[in-house]
Amino acid sequence: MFPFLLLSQSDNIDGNYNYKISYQLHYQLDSTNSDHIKSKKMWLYTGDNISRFSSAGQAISDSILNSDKHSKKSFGEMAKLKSQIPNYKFEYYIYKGIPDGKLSFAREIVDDNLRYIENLNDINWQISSVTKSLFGYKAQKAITTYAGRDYIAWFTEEIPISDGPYKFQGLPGLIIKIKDTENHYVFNLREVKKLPKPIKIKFSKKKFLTTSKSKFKSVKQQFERHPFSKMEQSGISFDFKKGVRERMTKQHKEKLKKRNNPIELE
Amino acid sequence: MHLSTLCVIIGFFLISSSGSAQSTFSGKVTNQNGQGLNGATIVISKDSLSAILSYAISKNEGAFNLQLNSVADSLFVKISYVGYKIWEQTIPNKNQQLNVRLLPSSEELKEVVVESKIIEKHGDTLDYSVSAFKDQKDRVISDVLKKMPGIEISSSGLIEYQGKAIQKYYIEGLDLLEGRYNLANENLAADAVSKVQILENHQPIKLLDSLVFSERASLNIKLKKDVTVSGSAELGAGLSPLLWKAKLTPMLFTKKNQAIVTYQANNTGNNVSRAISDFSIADFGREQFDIKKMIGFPFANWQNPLFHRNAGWIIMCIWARSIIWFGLKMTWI
Repeated sequence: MFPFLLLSQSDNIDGNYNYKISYQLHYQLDSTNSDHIKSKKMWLYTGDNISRFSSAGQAISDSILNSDKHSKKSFGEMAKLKSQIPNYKFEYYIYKGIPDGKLSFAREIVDDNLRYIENLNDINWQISSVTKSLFGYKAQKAITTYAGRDYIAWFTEEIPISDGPYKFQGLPGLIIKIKDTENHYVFNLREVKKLPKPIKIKFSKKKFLTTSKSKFKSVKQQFERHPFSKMEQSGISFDFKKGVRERMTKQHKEKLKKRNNPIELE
Repeated sequence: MHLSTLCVIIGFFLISSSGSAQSTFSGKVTNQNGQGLNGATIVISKDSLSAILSYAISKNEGAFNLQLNSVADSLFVKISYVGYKIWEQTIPNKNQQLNVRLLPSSEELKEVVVESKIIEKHGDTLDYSVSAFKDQKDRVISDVLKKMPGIEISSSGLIEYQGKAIQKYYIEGLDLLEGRYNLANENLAADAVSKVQILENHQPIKLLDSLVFSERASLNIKLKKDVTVSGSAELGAGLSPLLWKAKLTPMLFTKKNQAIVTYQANNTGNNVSRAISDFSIADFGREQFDIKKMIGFPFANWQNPLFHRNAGWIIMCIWARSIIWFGLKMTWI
């Protein structure tokens, strides 16, 4: 009984999210086309030791789909349900502080719930003495390099939350703006608010298959290149009319070519 | 700065006094009960106004450690944590241990909302701010929609975006009316709407999003925060004659309970058929929500003399338990 208790203790995470910070992300997925800049709302929920970062669409969609109400629904029914939700592109969650001092990058690929762990202090900041007023806060500049891009960040001591968008954190205050020097990924603060009621942190290690970052990347690439095969392996069957599958695969490949500029280049 | 109220415990331990200009500051940040605070920011500057020289974020149990190269005699330390009073003090520039106890603060964090623009593009979504397009005489949302660049409404009520009929008409992300969106479009008070969103290349089936590129846009109506009830008081009175005279819009929308109860007066017989004319196009997932519809039409037997005998009425009620639940989720996340 006792070891069992220990196990369940280590699996569940206690705590709440107290603040919600919204960012607007402008990004350019095709590095050859600077006219094609897209934008998404991103949400950061912060608690005492743990924060969660995701796209707004991902957060909304999961809160709907993960409800108990739908646990018995078939795949087809779930797909229909999903059709109700405005579309979104970034289908990951970044949990900073899980495990302690590290971050968990989590993403579901078809039916695999994958997670890799990275050190939080992989990001080293160089604080500059330049300050300016930004979004109503006194902000200070800092620079860093991460995954093949150089970034310029602006943080504010007025919000003593050492966090920020994506994997960025570790400055003496909230990051309210961060962009890479090519302007391919630009995060701007939209809103800071205290949650009217704290939200319980839901994270269960059991839910995830923990893997290495390189293994995660190869699974993701495999899915992007051959989406139908991955789905078929997972037990989803497709019944296409003649030529449709080929046409869709071709369109998909063309689309992939235009998505050549991920936030992490290496 | 009231030192007496801060319950500050600072231990000064002279560790070494070598000639080097590097000082090490270590210590622990705790709350009023002595529990370590993880994630507190410790910032050192030359004085209270100058830029940061060095900083640390407290880790396990509130412990921190930071080094600093400075020839200054004294330094300014500031320790902050959300929900606690800022602790700040000038200290001598030498190796030392700082154990700081923070006290809770009732002062709230400085919250901001960065103002949104008239039309904004977020990814494939175009946001039109309704207030920017609305005039005083505009009563229902279709009046405002007509003025938004790129959006056109044909005489039959069909909404087009850049010359193509829209695929879906969502209200708060829900496709309640399917092709019969005219009902909402011509009855929903413009004042109840905060934003109109155009979802370009919207693919109603999510799984196919990365595979099929839809050329048709969908439209989403974002309601104002809190409650957006238009004509609800009158509705509560049960379609009173007053309402009939005033020709208000008895459409009830709340974020929590997305139900549409609408009627349309008609003395000529034309408007009604238009309002229910179905523009339904390839409906994906018609039954995904447990929606019960009741369309009573016409209501000719009203015992009220004020009602014209041949007035056509539509009463459409949508009860959607799923939607009530959906609305709840939408508000918190």
